[in-house]
Amino acid sequence: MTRGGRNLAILGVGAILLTTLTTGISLAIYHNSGDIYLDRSRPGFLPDEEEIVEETDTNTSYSFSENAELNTETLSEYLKELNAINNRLEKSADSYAPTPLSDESLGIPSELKEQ
Amino acid sequence: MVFTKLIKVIFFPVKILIWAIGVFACAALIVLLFSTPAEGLDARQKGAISQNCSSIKQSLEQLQKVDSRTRTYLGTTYETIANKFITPLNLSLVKNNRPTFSDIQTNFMSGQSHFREDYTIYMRELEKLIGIDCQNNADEFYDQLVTVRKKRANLRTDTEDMLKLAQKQYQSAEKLKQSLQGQK
Repeated sequence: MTRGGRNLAILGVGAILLTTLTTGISLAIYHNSGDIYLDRSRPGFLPDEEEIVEETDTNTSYSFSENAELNTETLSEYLKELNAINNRLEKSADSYAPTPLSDESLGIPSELKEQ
Repeated sequence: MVFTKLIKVIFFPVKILIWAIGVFACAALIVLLFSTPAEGLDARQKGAISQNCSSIKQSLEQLQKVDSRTRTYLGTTYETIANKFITPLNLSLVKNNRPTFSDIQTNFMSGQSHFREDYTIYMRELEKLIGIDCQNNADEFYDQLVTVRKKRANLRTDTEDMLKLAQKQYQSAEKLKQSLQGQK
């Protein structure tokens, strides 16, 4: 092998190793920063069709304008829209209830004591 | 000379990798030495966890997806409240030389940040739980389950706090409307 060919091979190996290292670091950062848990483009976490429709329905098109006149009419509409959103939030208040992780839900005998 | 430098460049990441493996091994040893098993985990209960392992894991994976969906929904709703209700009203109050609801805005944004952080922590622990072999490591599995429950409880507290702030914003805007009516 000529000197030039050898150097080219070393460059190729070095480039592959560097790529592997930087990709590994990027994936590690992606995982460790927690962004992976916020990413819904992962396989198995993509939104369903009905979920996309539901999200369109729940997002309000109303937006209070900072330039609008501050009077009882504008505030009445503001309160009506905010109340609708607050009602939806109230319905979701128990979204992270402990029930799904309880011993009963998971089929674990309930005599287990926690530390 | 160039060749020697190239070799050094190539082997430097290898040295880093060996160092990282050493640190990980020490950390794993410390965790194994100092971790305590769940109390009261008798043979019957261990057996139940081992037997139901696959169905437990299925339930947890399903929960993971549902929780992810809920997080998206709640996160979007919080963004809507912050960007379309709280912030523009405060800007309007500033323009009208009126006292703002800045404490609600600050706490709401802080709450959003806590929610995101706590969700990430919770999901990380849940993923760790799903990764444990509950058929052969029932003790470790139950330990981790207890941890996940605590993290989920933190998340629940965050959502309750956010709801209270949204309601406080409503009440403050209601009072403002009444004060404007009184001025007429």
